[in-house]
Amino acid sequence: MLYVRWADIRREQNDLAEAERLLQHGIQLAELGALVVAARGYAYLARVKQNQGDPASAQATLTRLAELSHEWETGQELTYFAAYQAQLALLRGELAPAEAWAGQVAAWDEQEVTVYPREVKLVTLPGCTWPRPGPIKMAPIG
Amino acid sequence: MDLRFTIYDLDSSVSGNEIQKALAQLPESHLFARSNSALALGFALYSLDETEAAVPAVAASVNLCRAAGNALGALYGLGLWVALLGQQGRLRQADQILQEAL
Repeated sequence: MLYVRWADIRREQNDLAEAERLLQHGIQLAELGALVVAARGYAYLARVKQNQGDPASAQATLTRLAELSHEWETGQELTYFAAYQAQLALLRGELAPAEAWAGQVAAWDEQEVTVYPREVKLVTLPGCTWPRPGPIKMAPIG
Repeated sequence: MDLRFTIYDLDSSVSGNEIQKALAQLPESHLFARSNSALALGFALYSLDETEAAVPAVAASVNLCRAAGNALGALYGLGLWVALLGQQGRLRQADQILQEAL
């Protein structure tokens, strides 16, 4: 779990290579039993791959995430992954899947007790309503 | 004493003093129970978007978990702690904590 968290911190710091290394290690450990953590790792890895300019690998990673979680009951993790995938669609410049997702979620749900799905959702929703000319180019920080 | 009520009754006005008040009801010797209760309170604050109050609460719970030998609690608390620091943009601090932990 901590390797996956650490990787997301490194991604925020734009250290994508280290983020990827930590994710590969974290996913390998989590696949031994902590599948929710592994799934979170795949979601983060897809974002890293997208930021590295490798949309094919990002899509393959999302496919692995879907395989891992397809039998799970509806819950906050799936809500989180749906928001995360919409965010990645926006990064690819694909508005349609993001808009489809945005059409299915309430902007603010009082019953949503855990913060992190709400956070990703609130960050992603505005992007679904603003027209974009194409994929978002990721600029290095600093 | 009903610590569960204290946890579930948290609202936006909850403060660090109230956390301490709830924990004070558990004897000092019940270190493992105190560590889990502290962690639950930290998570409750996080869930209520009380990020500023949640950070010191979760940090304290991690220390308690370590002292109690509560490895699972410490692991979970560390993950929550760095997630909160990430939300606050305190990335270097989160990175430092993880370097020391791993």
